[in-house]
Amino acid sequence: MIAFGFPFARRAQRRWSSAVPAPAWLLAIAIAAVMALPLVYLIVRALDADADAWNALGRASTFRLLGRTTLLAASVTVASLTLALPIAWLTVRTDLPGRRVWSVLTVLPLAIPSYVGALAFVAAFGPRGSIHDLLSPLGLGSIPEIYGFPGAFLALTLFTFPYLLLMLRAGLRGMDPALEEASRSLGAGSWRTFFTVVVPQLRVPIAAGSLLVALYVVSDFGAVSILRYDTFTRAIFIQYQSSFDRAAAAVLGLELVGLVALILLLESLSRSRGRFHGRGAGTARTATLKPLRRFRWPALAFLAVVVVVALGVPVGVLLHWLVRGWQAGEPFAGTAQAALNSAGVSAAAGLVAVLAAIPVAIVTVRHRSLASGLIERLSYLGFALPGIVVALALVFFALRVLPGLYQTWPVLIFAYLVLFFPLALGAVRTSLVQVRPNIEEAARSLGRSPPRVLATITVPLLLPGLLGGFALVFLTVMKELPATILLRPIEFDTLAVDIWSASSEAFFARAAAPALLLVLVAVLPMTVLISREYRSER
Amino acid sequence: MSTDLNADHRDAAAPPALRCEGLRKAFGRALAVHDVSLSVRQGEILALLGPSGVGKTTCLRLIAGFETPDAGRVAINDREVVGPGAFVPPEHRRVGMVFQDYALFPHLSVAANVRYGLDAAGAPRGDRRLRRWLHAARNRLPGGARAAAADARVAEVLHLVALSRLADRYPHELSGGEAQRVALARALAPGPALILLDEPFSNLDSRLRAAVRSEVRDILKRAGAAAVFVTHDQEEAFTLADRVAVMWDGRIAQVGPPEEIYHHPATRAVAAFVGDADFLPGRLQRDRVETEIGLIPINHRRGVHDTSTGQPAVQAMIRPEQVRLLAAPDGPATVVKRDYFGHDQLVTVRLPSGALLHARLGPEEDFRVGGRVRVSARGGAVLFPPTDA
Repeated sequence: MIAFGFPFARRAQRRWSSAVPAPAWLLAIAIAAVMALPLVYLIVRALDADADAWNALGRASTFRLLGRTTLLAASVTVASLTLALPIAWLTVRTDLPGRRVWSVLTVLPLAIPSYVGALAFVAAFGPRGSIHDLLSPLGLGSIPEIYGFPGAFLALTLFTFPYLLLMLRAGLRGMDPALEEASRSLGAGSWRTFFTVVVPQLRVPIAAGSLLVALYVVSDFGAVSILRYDTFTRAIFIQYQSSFDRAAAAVLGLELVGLVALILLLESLSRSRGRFHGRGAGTARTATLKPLRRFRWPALAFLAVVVVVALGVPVGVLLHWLVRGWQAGEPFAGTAQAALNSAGVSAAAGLVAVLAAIPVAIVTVRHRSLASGLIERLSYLGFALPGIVVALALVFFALRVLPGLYQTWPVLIFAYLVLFFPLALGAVRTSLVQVRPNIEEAARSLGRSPPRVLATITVPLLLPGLLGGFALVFLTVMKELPATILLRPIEFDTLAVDIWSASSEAFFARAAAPALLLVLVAVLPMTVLISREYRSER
Repeated sequence: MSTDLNADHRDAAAPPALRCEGLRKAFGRALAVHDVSLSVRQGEILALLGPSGVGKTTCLRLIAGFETPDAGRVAINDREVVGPGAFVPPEHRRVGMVFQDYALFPHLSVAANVRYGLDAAGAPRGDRRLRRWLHAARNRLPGGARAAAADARVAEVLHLVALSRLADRYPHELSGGEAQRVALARALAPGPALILLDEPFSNLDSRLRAAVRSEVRDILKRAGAAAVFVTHDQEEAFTLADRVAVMWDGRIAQVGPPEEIYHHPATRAVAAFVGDADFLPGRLQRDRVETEIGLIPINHRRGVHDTSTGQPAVQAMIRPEQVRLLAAPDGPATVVKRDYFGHDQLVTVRLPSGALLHARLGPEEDFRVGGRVRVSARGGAVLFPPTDA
């Protein structure tokens, strides 16, 4: 059709420029400003730093730290992609038996806090762990060392790959199956089609998901500290905990911001070329499921291994501890209240994050410019920084600006917003890309004002993204620790706090009940989310 | 499809449904719309015809209010919606728009889509029994009368587009032609002053296109709606529109009824765009033009005037259906190509000068490539000044 042939740049400009209303811009800028708070805090603190702290930046040990952090982030990201890509394809595009169940099970490791997972791995694979006990009578005395890089790599990969998996699932669903069919009809086999058509089309979700994984690894404290692998975040924590030298910690934090900026730059380079449009919402045509035939059993075995290691081992270890604790007469009081607290505060944070994501998504999707790019990048900052930095930043500002709010709900939820906003933004953006602006124009030409168009057309069409973003934030807040500990109202216990206080005193049996509850509470939103996906498929 | 000539005289006293004056719009340095003035009478269908990228869609979006012009004004039913110091947002312009890809709301049923533009609250969703109950309940509540009126209007418009039976379907369950009619029904439902259609048939296959086209024309005429539609297809413009505005490089090159555009094109570019055309060099001889294929009467002149001195050189535009061929072994022209379509055929001949000429002939005439023919022309030619190139 000739109608599509003419100057693209011009057409694109026409499509996007007029579509963003001023209130959306104002809100987006305000939210970006909020996201920048931790950076401002780091700069203010670092100004107090003495020469020693700045000199430390040039020291070999700092470079080693930088190298180790980069190595871990890069290797976990690559491994996560290697896991998530086949799993996404198997559960979305093939006739795999029990696709729904596998879909939920493979996403669930996200509900396991990295510190719990790491503890479970130590208990299972550690020097005197269960696997060791099982294997030593058989003469297999030595299994690979779990401490250090291997353990941190394994734990972080298995507990963060679902971020990528969720993005890839959404990407695969939004992809026009005609592209694959075109490739097949041009004589490309299924492998070639997968790598030359499907994967390049998935570049946006791959980049977005990899970004989340990499930044999560950079900011993680639990797994690396339990598995004794030194990263920036661990160093910053130790700086805070041992010497209370906030200025020196801030200098380290700023260096971490530099690393994050580099990662963000890499990601933005990966999306600069080409445009990807999902098929428009509503013109749904689902792809025919690919029969697996003889690959069925290997595929099932692959999924089973992933689920057993990432979900079965931690849950098994927790159950083991629970039974042991129960036999020893361990009290479980307070856990139900903590579960309610966790769920309540997580739901509130999810709601706030998703609502805040709407204007930012509108600005960054509908108006591509330097300003909107900056707003988007800024929103990733909180996610990449160690929770303790974000928490201290908010303590700092709360005490100076609104002292009455310190250790109250609003500040806690505010902290979660700063920490996990990109999770909501990514999900909402993915949905918004598929809502063509002319649907909104049609609504306006029918006499509805922009706010009513937003309420009656845009938001209902964004619903999948809003639900997905809510679920992700909910899950991640459930297991968040440093900010919760620092900012929670007094006497406000959550499951994560219970787990931490029990396990830091090595009462693993007491940690088991809240940890299992955490996984159980997470199953519900995940199941709802996944079954919704399948229902829309019909 | 014949042109509704009555439309031209209808409501002569009423204000025009649309009046644009001196519209101008640039994107960066590219000038998309350049000094466009147009007017559409009540109940009239106007086609904006032109190749892709000449600014037709931008024009439509300026009228709808999705773009703001750099200069010029737009009035709908004599109310200025854009002009110096005036801007009425799209939702208050009373303009219905049908998009190229229909832009149906995927989360709403057909009836709810159509109802969206009516003032009453959106149709309740949920299961069918609940909906029926709510429907009954609403009629008893304050404001129920308005809701009932909206329901009646939805039913009326769906009946107009013959889709009453699909009211409960969702957009993804519709065929292309059905979606097209829903989009039209949705635009018509609030009773807009003007309907705008952006390449409305380009997403339909060619067989369906002709049928839907005449349906759409009937629906618009029955609704008495004034409409502007954008197309790059001259056949579409001619069959659907009362008047056609040909756009070229952001400007309106010519406005008129289809016959006038076809028979008396304003420029060579328009002549070639709205149909097949050959241009033969010739010399003006009082009321006729002398060309390689003989003396041809003059139908129309564009920028060609009689001069007292000599016989000025001109270009004579001839449509293929005017050209006659007669097989003759000693004929001066040679058949070089024959495209057989079934209902007719297009035969290309090479004249002694080397110029190519096309003839549209009935399917029964039998010419072989390489055969010698004599060439003549029926009817008159349109004269243009000679091109330098």
